[in-house]
Amino acid sequence: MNTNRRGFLKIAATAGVAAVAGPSDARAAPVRRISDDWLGMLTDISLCIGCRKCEWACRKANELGPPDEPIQDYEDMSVFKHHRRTDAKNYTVVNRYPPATPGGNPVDVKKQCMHCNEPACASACLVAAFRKTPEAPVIYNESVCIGCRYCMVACPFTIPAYSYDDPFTPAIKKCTMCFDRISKEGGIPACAEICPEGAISFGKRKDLIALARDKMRDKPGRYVDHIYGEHEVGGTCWLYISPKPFAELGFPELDTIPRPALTKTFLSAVPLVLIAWPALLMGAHAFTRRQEELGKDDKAKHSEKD
Amino acid sequence: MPRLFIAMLTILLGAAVAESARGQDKKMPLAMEELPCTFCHLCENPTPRYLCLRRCPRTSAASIDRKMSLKRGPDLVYLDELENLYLPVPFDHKGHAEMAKMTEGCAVCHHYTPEGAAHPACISCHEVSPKQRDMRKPSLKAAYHRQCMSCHREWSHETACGVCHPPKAGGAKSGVASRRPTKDDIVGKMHPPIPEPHTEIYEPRSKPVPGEKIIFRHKEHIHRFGLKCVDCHREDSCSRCHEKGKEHKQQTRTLAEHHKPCSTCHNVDDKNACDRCHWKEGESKPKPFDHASTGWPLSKQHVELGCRACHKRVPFHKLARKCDACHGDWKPDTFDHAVTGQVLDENHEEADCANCHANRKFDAPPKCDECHDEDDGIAFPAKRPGPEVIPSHRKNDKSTGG
Repeated sequence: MNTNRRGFLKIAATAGVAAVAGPSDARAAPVRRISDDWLGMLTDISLCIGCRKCEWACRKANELGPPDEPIQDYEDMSVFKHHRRTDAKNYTVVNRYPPATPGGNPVDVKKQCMHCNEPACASACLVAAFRKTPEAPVIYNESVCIGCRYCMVACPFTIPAYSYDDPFTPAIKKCTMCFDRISKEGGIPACAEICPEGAISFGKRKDLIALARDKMRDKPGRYVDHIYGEHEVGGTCWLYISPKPFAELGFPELDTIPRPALTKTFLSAVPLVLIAWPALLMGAHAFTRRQEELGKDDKAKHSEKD
Repeated sequence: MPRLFIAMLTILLGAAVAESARGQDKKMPLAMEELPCTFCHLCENPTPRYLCLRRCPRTSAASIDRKMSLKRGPDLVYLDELENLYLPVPFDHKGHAEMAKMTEGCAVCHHYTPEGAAHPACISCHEVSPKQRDMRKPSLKAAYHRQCMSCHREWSHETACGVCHPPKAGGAKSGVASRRPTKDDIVGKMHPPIPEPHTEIYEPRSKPVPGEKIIFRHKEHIHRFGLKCVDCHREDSCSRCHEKGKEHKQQTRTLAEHHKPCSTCHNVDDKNACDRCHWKEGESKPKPFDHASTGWPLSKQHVELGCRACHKRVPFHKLARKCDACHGDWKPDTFDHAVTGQVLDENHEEADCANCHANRKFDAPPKCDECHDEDDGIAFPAKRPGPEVIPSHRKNDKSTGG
């Protein structure tokens, strides 16, 4: 062992600096740059009439319900009495909120996976079952999932659901932005296709933000000045514009920090701790052993002298 | 050196020709020169990079109202793109055009109409495919629904498909009309029944004469004259009933406009006829219409008939004072006397009409003295030439003749 005191201090100092500097860098610079080619969706809440046809189309496209489910079943508006969440059988739900102005139309909001630019679910997943595709949709690989459901805890929008009713092959269930459909030429997500009002637009995220701004500019006073999802948790690929403040429509008020960045501080320290901590202990061990050896030598010298 | 010179000259010449050709292609449309920049551009200084174009150049949209009159537009339009799924949606174009008059005019819906052209069909701009090349332009489906739902949702809070799209028969749900609506229905779609006023007495807002009142017998017009709602309520706006909460501005109308709902049938210019509707308080009310005033008092058979049985078209016209004015195909050989309520027995069947109806005056009581002696006490109606039945025209309330 040739580590001396100076060498040990050097290692300790380097580790310390790295531990402090490393995570702060991770927060400042996002891991993934937002791509101009990313796809996305824009829901214009002011156009939504709450017809729930998107719910039907979604279930049909994802084979979540019986194959011949009648579309008339979705004309039942009594479901709006309660606030609903996405579940294993419904990747999207429409909720109804009071009108923006008294006597006006109620405000209907479609809810589904937001397809975050930096998905917290993917970051929380131990086995990388979630993946942000280069096209933008966040998709899930059932075959590697271990069923820990950390993703459900991690999601800031409480979207992923678990098929608890399936005892043998339970899986996480959430919107895929109809990844299979949009991968085909000319394909668009089922909800956007059926929407009678054209309230759901599908296209490149960059274009959708421009579209949202144009809509706001063309119809002043129709929308609140906020594109939900443009900056929330580092940006999402599903965007919303609304005639009513988002906080009153069940949208969580979130900062602009991507959720993976919050855990990155801790997670990036793990390898450092794994290197620095043994090094520190080994250094301490080497130091004390040397001291002991030196002590032994001194004793021996003293005893020789004696 | 000369070779290089020739080559350069050729390139320069080529470039000049190409430039002039391009210039010809990019000829500006004449109309463009007169438009202010802000007609298309939102910002003051557009750049090639940032054109800040308006979403839809609503060229001459405002001029539609001047070009198009309500009369030239269709009354009822069937939207039948989805005929395989639903019955066609009857769209009351006229009614909506009237309502539009109160707001922004035709341009509310016909938002893009090029100069000198009729309104282009929605489908000529709005694509059928839900995947739009231009995200700013809604698909055909969205364009239609946005036009309708933006108002209808406000009024009815109904979003179910069946409200506008009557399902095809077989798949029809109860309570939804599954027949194709006709032009005669008040709004294209079957209108729910409206309680009819029996007699309406109006007090004119701007009273020309103190204490003057106007009588209008609504029920008589519907049931006796057989008029349909649309015969009089031609110019009526749906919003008169459907937007009750709103204050409607009473427009100043000329006398002719004021009388328009009545003038289709009534001669409102006849100064002697005013007292048919107008009367002063304290005086006796104008009496209901009496057919005798036309010089043709209605006999027993005819009085029960509606006006429409003889006067087929509105406004009602004078008919010739002859039976065959209505009973056009009447022939003595084929005439079934039972339609009058009087069946002829064997003895009378073969008789000539004139034997009983002297001089063929059929509205006068028949005479029996041609064959029978008066002394025998045989006279109509004490003695009848056969059994009495219910006249066929009273059974189904239809015309006896033609």
